[in-house]
Amino acid sequence: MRSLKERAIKSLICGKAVDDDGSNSGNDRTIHCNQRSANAEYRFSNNRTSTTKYKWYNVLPGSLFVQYRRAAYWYFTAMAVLSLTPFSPYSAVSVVLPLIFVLALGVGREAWEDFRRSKGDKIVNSRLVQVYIDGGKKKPLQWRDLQVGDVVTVNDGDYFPADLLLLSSSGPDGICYVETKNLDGETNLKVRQALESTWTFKDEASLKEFRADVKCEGPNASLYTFIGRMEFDDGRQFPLGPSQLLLRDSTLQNTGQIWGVIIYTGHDTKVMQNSTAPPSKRSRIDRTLDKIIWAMFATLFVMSFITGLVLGYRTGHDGPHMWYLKPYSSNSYYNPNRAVIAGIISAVTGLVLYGYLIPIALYVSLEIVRVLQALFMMQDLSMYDATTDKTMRVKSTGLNEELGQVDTVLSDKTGTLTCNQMDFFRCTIAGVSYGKGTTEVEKAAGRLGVALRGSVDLRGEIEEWDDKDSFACNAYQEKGFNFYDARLLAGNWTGEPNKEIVQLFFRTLALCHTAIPEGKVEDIGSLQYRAESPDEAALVVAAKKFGFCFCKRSPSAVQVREDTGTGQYVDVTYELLNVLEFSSVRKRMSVILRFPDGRLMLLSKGADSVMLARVDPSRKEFVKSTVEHLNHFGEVGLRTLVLAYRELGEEEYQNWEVKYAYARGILGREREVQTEELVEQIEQKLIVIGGTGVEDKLQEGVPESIDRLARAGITIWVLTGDKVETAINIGYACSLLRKGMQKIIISLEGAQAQAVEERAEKESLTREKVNKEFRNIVAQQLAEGSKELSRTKSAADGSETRRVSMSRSNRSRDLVNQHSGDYSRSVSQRLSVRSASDRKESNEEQELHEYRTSGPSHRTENGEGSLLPEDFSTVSVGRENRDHPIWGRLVDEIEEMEFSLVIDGHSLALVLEEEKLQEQFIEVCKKCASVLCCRVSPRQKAQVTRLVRKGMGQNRLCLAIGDGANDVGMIQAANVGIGITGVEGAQAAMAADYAIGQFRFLERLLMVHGHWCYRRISLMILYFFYKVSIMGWIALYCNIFAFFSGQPLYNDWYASFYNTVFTSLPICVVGTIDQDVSADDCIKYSELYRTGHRKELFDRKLVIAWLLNSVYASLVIFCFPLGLLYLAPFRSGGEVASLQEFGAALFTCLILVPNIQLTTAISYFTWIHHVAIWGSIVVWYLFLLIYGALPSTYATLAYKQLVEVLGPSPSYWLLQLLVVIAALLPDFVYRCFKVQFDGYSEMNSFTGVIPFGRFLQGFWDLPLKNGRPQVRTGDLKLLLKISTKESHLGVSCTLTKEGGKSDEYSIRGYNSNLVKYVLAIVCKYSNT
Amino acid sequence: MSTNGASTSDNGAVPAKKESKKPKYSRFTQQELPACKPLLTPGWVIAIFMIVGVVFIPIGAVTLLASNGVVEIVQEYENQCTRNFTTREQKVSFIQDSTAIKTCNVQLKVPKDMNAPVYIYYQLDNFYQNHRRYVKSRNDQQLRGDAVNETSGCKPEATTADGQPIRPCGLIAWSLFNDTYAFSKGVSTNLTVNKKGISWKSDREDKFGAIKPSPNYPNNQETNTSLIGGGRLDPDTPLNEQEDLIVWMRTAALPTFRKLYGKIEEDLKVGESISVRIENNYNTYTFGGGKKLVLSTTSWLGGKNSFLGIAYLTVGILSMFLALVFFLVHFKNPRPLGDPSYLSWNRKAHLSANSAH
Repeated sequence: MRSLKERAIKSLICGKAVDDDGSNSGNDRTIHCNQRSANAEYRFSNNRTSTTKYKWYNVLPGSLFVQYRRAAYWYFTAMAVLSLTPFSPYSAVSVVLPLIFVLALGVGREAWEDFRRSKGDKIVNSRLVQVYIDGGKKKPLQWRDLQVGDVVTVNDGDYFPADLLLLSSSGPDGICYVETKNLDGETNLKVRQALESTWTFKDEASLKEFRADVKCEGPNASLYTFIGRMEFDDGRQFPLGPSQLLLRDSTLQNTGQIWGVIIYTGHDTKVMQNSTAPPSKRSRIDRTLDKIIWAMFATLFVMSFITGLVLGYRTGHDGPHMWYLKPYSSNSYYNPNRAVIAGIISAVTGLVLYGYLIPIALYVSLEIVRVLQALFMMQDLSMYDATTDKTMRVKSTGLNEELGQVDTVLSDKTGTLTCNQMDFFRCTIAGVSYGKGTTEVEKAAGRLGVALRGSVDLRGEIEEWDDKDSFACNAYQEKGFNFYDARLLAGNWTGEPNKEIVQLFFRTLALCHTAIPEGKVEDIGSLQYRAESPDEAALVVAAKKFGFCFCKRSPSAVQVREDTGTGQYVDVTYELLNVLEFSSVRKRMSVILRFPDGRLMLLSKGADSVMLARVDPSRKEFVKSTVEHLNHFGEVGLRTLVLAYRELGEEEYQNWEVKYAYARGILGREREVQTEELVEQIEQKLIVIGGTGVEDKLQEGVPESIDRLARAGITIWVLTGDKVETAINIGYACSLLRKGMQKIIISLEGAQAQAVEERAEKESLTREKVNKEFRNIVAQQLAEGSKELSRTKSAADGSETRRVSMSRSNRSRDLVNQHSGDYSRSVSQRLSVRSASDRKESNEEQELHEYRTSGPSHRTENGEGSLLPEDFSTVSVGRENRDHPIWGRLVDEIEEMEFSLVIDGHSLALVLEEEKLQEQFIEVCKKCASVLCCRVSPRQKAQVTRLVRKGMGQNRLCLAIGDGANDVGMIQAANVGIGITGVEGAQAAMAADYAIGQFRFLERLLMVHGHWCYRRISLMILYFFYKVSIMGWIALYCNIFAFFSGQPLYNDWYASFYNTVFTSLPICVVGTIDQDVSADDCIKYSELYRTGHRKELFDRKLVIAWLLNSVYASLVIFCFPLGLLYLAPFRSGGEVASLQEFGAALFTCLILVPNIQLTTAISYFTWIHHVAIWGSIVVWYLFLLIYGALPSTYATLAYKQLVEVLGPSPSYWLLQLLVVIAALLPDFVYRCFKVQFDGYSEMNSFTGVIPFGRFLQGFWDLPLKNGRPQVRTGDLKLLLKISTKESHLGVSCTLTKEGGKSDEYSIRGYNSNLVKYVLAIVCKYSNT
Repeated sequence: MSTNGASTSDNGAVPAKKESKKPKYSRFTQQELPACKPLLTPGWVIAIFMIVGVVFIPIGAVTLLASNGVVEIVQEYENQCTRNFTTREQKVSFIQDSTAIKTCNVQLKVPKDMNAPVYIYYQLDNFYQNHRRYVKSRNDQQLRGDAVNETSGCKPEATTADGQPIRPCGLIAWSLFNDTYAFSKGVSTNLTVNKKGISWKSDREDKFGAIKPSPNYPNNQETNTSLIGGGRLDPDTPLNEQEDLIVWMRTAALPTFRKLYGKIEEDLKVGESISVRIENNYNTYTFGGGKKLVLSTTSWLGGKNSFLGIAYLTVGILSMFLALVFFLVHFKNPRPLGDPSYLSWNRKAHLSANSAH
């Protein structure tokens, strides 16, 4: 969004609009300012806005239409219509009612949401604003009554009611400041300036005279462009650009009042033009559900077809003989003379009869359950952010279960991983580094044992941080300032050797920026700054803290309250001559000032790459040390800037100024080119004075969360605008890159790329050719990366031998391609050994390496014998001889998470351009645990997201998380979008499916709620199909026995209540609150999350298994009552069962079996479960009782069924017990065997039984049986004590050796076997 | 850019009153309700199967005994009582000949002592009383006596040719079973057949109109039909006393069914010879259905049906067997509780480690 200004400049073109960003569509408008009547002919839209989807008259059809996008609903409706005809086997009410219920639910929800939207609209539309109608008196009008051409005035802090053309401001020079948080998420202020010719129109008197026409482009969605011209009646013409446009939904800040003409109203405003309906996302399970529904449809049609066929045949064949039916007197059905028609009718009847296979209740239940799940998420205290007082919010409930299957997380960096809270942390002035304290990166480095290059160099200069310092530091801390160094603070800088330079440094901080002070000038402490970026604000705050308080700005002067070094303050006013603004292309900004002593100074700050190129070669005294320090700052994760100055000669400046002023006056694109050239001229021969390091603080708990997410098998991509080095360091800080990971770096910053560029310059190659060369380089780097990956992989897959990378401190074999040249070397250097003791280990490492390469023979030569389990020595060595089998064994699936990929923006852009590269890129990324994309633009973020979705295939599910407006594209493109309700406005949170307050909540959202919801929804769908298909099969069996005539053998009402009353509540309860393991265990055993990746809880196999189970259960449920009630009397009174008794007995079993089946499918029972499950069964008996007790007019044949007929019969009750046990037996046996042999693949609460760590300890001491490898404890005689502990890094083991020296070995492994082997080998080698 | 931007913006303009949105803690909302989390540990598994076995086998034994105690005589007569006609056509024309004498005698031997009451059933085969057209062809209102002339749903047996409502209307009533049986013991001792109380009390008292002020008499029954089959009702007896009809109107679930005909309230001794005089009136010959006469005693559980007993025994024995299997499995391959190597994410690695041996 930085590019706002550049783009604004680009498009400020006089006269007829030129095609720019496709914004001109030929519908230019002419506005007669301040003349309502004159504008009437154009019929501009009014300023009423509406965000509702429907009007009162089309709520019903509109929302119904939305509902009917689901195929199943058409089926349900067709069935309902059929049920109104005589074809239906069920009474119409019992079919139509559920459908009406479902539809009403959906319509109701849509209508309610729309109602809420319209309420919001109403509030907005009826806000008041002061308007001068036709130059008349000022009077307040509601927003909705505003018209194009009206002149309005807006006060400080208020919203602009429409898109306004700025006429004048109460501030100087027609300047005003606006905040566009609601538009682009940026909290910094932007400057808007009116045309000079309109500055005076700021009261009733002058506005009366104001007559002008504005010609401008028609309404469009481009926020950063505006082209138009203002024509006064006297013929004067002025070009208009975005700098004069105030957009609706932004606010006026730091300016008393502005006056403006309305240009676009209502839905023509840019913000409304920009509003796009968020893409509707459906979960994968939902889509699978559709497929199952189609399969069920097919089954249904086949069943109905067969029904029709058989009935048609039998009606023709047997029908004539069935005199008791009087078949020939039938007008159509069952008439043997019209057997074909009878068959067709019967098939249609079959569709309704077996229609239970298509569960309408599932859709309702899913919808309800998802909403309830969402409510639980929002209630979760662990996801409540106390600092912002925000709970987690669910925006679209349809994706809950997707949260349990995420395997790729695409994350924004700033504001998501980091707080976007910039603190001035260190600086280097005149070659001396200042600032104490450790950054997150340094802490992480310490944690991981990675040595950072440069720490040694600085050790001498920076004193150790002690408690006294931290106390002192607290006194100085402020938002934006987290710096402590006694040498600079409290005026102590005057004692520094290069006092003048230090002073200049502070002045540069205080002067070279575009920030605006807020607060009272008198009270320096309360003074705050609004700046374009938090970085800039941090620098100004730092200046204030150092005693150079920037307190006032006017277009031509900057006032600074300076510390003279004696504790006294003087106000110094600097004349501001020019501001050479920051842009992402220039990566620097400068100001030209006239100091009070008359000197002309150019103060400049910028990225080191651009600044160093502009340094005066003769004045390089501090360059070397500054660069060194800045590199170090970069490595420890700070954002760095170089500060430099240049003293300008009067004449030189005047010459330049003339040209510059002229260039600024040029209209059109030429202006940009010329000013750029001139700026380039003046920003030369700079003298470096120092550099700054600003820390972007990590959010709380980020490294831990990322680590656990990684353990859960989630690949994490970070898309950041940072440069490669910073990104890598942040990567370490937030645990994205771990010790021992191999990095594949795709970069065009290396030597080879440079060579190409140089050659391009020399031979003046076309851009296309250069790009082609670059593409080749990228392709080559990717190829090498994948070669390295596949070498590892094939070793792993091909035989029992595998390459091992053991995570010891120095075993980080960075895989860096030679092309990235110097850079790669620096990385590996940085990760070099830190201390002497480590170096000793590195020797061991060397030994290990030799051991590895020489194979087992080497070991036997050593005569060391059998420390290791004997069976290892017999293992044949695989085709890669250098890989020792033991090592191969050590590494299991953890190994696949050992790579990371870093790619820079330039390479990424090239990758995104070409399909072949995309494939190659994705292939490599698939095997990497984390991917860092640097220098990524917002558009690229969305592109990368789409690429990941496309490239990874249907089986992968990607989640995007971000906080800013620039993440919206990414959030919308991903399967699941998460918005962080952070500092940068609410754009991301609004576009997201879920909004959370902190990145670390993602962990809980995915691993607890996602996991639970995935399990719940999966179980729910599977179970639903189980229970509805039981019903469907039974309808079929009944029909077989009823001549396929379509007569169900049970009461209509039983059937219609089956899905709604008797069996739905328990599964909804399970769907809402079931847990396999507790929330704590979900987090603790991150691997549980992988069940979602493996689709362990919902896939085709499971659907088939449940359906087979339903076939079996339905057979039992149908045949057992049949066996009991067939022919022989079922009571001691000699009564035989009729259709009614058979139906009721059958249905009793049909209610019992699914309900009790549910109890075997879960292993978590709260009182709610009990109430729901046993309650449903009780409800069935109560229903029988009550229905039977109704007068026989209503009860018909079910009259007194339970009381008189079934209840007193022991066989009825014995039947139920038998059927339940028999129907559940196979499934139960399967579950028992699975637990016995297959362990936990169906997750259950075993994991919670014994804490993992305790178990592991036990494991160590006990030799194992059953073919599992054993360790003879006697072999480990050198070992005195091994303690294991769990940490966020995995299982780490501490070995205490004989000498009493303790070594900590951190082993990233969660497999106890692995840990054990590693330890065994470590023991052996660390003791030889 | 979201359309909601405008509406949210007023939140920014007016400072909302500071009230914490922090959710209230409760065990329910935090999903920390106390819960029972049963585990399928080997002990439980074995115990569950044992219990099922221990409960089911005795039940099976008892029910099987009950069923075996029931004495049942089944006598097929659809071929014996057609005067040696062999083809279907002959049988049909015989049965439809209203002048033919259709009486025939059948001898039954009592295989075991049969204690009173001995229930008499007739059994029909291949008769689809559950056919949709058939089941629907009745009018409950009329039967109950609420609207005696109401015949909706009864077509084609709703009205007589001259439009008078038939009562009881519909195919079910029209096709009433009309074979009769008369029993005698030895040479001439008649056995009384009690035909009272063979229907459900609720049917007699409610569905067929007993509580209505005036009794619900049959009328206008169609007489001249070429397909002689359906029996005729005594127009002078109210419907609720015509229990044959009541039993018949309670349609069967399956195409082969028995219906209660009456009771002999006299003990029958083993070896006694019962002679049955059958009026073979009912036409099952057209659709090739069989007719059987059944005499049966009952136990506390009902008639002769070993299904329940066998099923219970089978399931019980299977459970015991499974308990044994699980015991052996557990004995041979004990499964330590909480062994992470059984966790599904460890299993893959575990297997590959094993396969390396």
